[in-house]
Amino acid sequence: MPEPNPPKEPAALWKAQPEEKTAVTLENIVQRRTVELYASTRSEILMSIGAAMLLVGVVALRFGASRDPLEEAGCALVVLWVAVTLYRLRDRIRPAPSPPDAAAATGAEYYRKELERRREHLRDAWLWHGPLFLACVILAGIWTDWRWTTLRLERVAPLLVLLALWVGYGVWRRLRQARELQREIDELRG
Amino acid sequence: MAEEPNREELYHTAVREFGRALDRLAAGYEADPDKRHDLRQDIHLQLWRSFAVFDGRCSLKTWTFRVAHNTAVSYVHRERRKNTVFVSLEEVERTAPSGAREPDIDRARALEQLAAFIRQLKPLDRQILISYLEEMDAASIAEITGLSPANVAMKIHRIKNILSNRFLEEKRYA
Repeated sequence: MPEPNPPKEPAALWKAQPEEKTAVTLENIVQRRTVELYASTRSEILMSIGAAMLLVGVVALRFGASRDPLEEAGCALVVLWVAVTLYRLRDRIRPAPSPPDAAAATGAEYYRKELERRREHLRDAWLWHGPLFLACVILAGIWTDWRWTTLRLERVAPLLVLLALWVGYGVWRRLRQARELQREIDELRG
Repeated sequence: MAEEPNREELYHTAVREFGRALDRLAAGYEADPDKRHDLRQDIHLQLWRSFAVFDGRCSLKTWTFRVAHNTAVSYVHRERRKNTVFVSLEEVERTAPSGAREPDIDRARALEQLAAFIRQLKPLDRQILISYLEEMDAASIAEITGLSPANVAMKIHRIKNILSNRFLEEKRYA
């Protein structure tokens, strides 16, 4: 049923639309962003820990019984790398910023700290892409039986080139995100 | 010499003066209430961030709507795969079925139709139409969109034709 006194002009009609039921507050926005940042950093860290452990498992399985000094040294390097990775990750896994009212209470300052935390996480690109690159080089080594002849190298070259490109792109993307976060941090400080 | 307002003051002033208009703007970009709430949050966050670099070279109103529209347009691009193809005002004017109007319509339905019409437009045309409905003049709209005032005036002429010929006519509310 038509309303008794509806607005007659499109602009009046547009401006008379009902108010939104939920208000937007800056505190809610900052809190939501903080939680989102925390969740994405945490899930990436957990995935990386999983990948690092998997890499150790694969290396141990494949080269555990080896008596070749080169392979033993390679194994030791991989384990060392994983140990460094896990060491660097240890203090990044910490309790979530909940309860929500605690995050809201700290406001922009808490948000800035979360931004800095994610920026550091992104800047450690080598930490995330290094083990993957190493794993693939090992895989290529297995395929070629560690004999880097021209013929064997030709077989693995496409894989290595693609891998290098992918790793390069991944590092570039992470560093770009880190720069964007740095800009946001500077704005918050300003 | 008076101290310049800081980011929080600018943000709160903008929200106080244009908060309702920003909500309406979001309605011109997203129909779903939950997604619209996210878009509104995004607009407010970008607005708050933007005031860190606000230099007063344009008015607070122009700045606010420029940021809001840009944020909303980015949102539309992100969500584009889920939407149908957008049309321009020119296409709408060309294909407008003038005989398809409903004779009587209540306000809620008319608003629904108007919002649906806005949301099918290409982002730039959407910006112009929403600004027009907010009763901004051609110069302000030109400043927000970056188009020339003459181009905006031409688009507004089209908008008026479409609105009056196609589906919003005074007698429909009688």
